[in-house]
Amino acid sequence: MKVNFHRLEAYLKQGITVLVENKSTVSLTRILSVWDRVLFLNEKLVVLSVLPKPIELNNCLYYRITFSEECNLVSLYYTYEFSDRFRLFSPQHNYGGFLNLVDEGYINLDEALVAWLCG
Amino acid sequence: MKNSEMMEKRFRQYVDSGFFADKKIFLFGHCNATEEMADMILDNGYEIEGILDNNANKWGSDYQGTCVCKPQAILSYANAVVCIASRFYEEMYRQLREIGFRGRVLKLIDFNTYAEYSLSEDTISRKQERLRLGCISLEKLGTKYPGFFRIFCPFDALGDVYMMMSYLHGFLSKINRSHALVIVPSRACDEVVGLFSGYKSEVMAQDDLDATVQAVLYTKDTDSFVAHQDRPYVIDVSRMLYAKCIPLDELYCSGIFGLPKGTYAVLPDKWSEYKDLDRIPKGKSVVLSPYAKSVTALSSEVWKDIVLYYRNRGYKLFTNVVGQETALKGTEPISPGISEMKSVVERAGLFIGIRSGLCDAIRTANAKKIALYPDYYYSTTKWKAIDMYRLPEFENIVVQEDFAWQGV
Repeated sequence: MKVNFHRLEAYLKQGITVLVENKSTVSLTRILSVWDRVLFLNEKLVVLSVLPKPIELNNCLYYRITFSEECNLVSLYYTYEFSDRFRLFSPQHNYGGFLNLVDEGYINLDEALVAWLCG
Repeated sequence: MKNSEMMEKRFRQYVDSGFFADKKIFLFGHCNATEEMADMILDNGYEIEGILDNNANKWGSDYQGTCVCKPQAILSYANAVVCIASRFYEEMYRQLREIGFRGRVLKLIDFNTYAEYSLSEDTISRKQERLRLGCISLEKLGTKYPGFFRIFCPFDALGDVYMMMSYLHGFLSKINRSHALVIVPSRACDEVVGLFSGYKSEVMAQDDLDATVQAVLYTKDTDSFVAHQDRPYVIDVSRMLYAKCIPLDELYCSGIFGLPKGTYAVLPDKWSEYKDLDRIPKGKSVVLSPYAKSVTALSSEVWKDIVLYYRNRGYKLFTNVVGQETALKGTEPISPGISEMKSVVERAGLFIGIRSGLCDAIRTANAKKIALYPDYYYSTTKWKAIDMYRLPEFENIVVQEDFAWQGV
């Protein structure tokens, strides 16, 4: 597992760090537009993605990473809970997820994106 | 060794070294684990100055006479020590240091083998080894139960397992799988699985189960599913409670299993009859269930009140007890298995219990059933326990400070 731990620690030091995996079923633009607009955190939000930054951001820090970095971070994430300040935004495979509740109308996507981050 | 035993062992090590001799003891994070820790410390003859908590809704409340207060309160005390029983130990430790607390912060138990907030080589190496063992365990399950779809229940809570089992049939139909193996962390949870026909089950020790679940996540195993609303850390269903109050059974139905709202919950159908029903006067008895592992306990005065009320009216009273639990004064102990509980409650005619997983198991019992809710918030949300756990088959009552039993 070749994770650049110094860089990861630097991200975590800057703020809550979210890796939006490339396989996400919700568009990065949609996600970022909600988080950038409605931020209830007491600290910065750091977003990592293999995609170029799609929109201008006022409240989030955005870092473009490589596919290899994404893969390594995902592997590390699924090895153990190395931080409570790192989140992975990814389609669920073998467990439930909040998007199920959005699909069933319990909560709308914008509310869910905020709750996912702040809850 | 059980978590509670480990917690007491660690505490006693500090006691034996004289560490607590001149210390003011604080606990951090008001939750079930902290209450268990508080009980243990009080039973060992020590006082607790306060329970620190970040949730402002809890400030001013108390547990066993100990006030819940904001973390900054500790700064007014010299010789303070903080005890923590939480996976958020590192975060809590950091917060205490950031607010200026310089005393010792003790970790009496780690309830969660998934989390270690560190990126050190040593930590990663240990966690990779844990993952390796988890993968071996997963493979063994596959060999032992070929062709079975594996459902993992990672948390030892009867109610969670019951709700999961209620919607499992619907989920398996959705994914077109017929043979399922349910893996749980305790015999009691296994008994709940056993209430529902058609499933194989396996009990695993908690640490082994955690490692196997980690392997399921890491390998993205398509023959397994982890069925819980917030365990382990990757699962985000219950985060939605930050914004909306969604009852727990609906979280299971739609959030975990992705089933349509209103999907029919399958009822348990494998009941047994308690062998000593004759000792229970039919329709003139009360079964009391005052104990619950993962719920704030009610005051003993509440139960005294209830016992007195029914004794004065000629009822025979029983306390459901397990293991070391003792019967309430004025009642007889009774220890039916979970599958026998329905027959006991129906024979008695009246069940009064603290809202717990046992209440889920006896939902379909044909008797008057009353669930008592301590007045607390569900986890760190703004929703009360009754909002999350209300049972339509029960009379649901919140026990507040001025509670007095008025009878059914």
